[in-house]
Amino acid sequence: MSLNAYVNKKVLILTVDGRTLTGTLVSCDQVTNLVLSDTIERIIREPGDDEPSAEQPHGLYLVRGDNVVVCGLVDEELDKSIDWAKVRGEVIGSTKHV
Amino acid sequence: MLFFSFFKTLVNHEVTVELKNDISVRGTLKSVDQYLNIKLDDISVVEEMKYPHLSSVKNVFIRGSVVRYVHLPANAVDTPLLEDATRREASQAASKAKQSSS
Repeated sequence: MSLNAYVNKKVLILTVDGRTLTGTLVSCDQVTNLVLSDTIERIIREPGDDEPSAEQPHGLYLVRGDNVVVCGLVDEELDKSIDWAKVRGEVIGSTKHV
Repeated sequence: MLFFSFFKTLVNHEVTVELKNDISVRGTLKSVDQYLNIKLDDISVVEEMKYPHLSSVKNVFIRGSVVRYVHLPANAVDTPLLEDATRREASQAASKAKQSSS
């Protein structure tokens, strides 16, 4: 099993520090190192926050395997139908407990 | 190796994977590998209102290292068989250790 099936498709990554990145998966390896092109970070703010949820472009990104929590295949139709600026949610916690 | 084989017997069953960041993802187990990385299909996040981040995602790859628990369907697990397999693996490991020390 590997992430090869997701290559050249739009993916969404949750990282260890609670960030959400979307982009096109360019490459992956055994230890889940991932390369994303046209990476955009999705900043989803809490319900009480006055600022709208935002997107931050990052371009070409290599995410080191140990920082990857989840790599999801994005349903592009569904994704486009969502106005992410209006989406509110809790801040995702870290997966590191030291 | 035992749990790798064990998880392979659960393919196509519904499981809930709780991650170390407290998010729980429910879906159909599609594959597992040697690191216990998990692939799920038709996922839903248990507290979707709290964590809407994955609402446009249906299939996920979850890195084994961030899994806290896997909630299994009890009727799909043959507990006595799992116990036997555990003992067998333990005794194999013990006899291997004996061989290498003598």
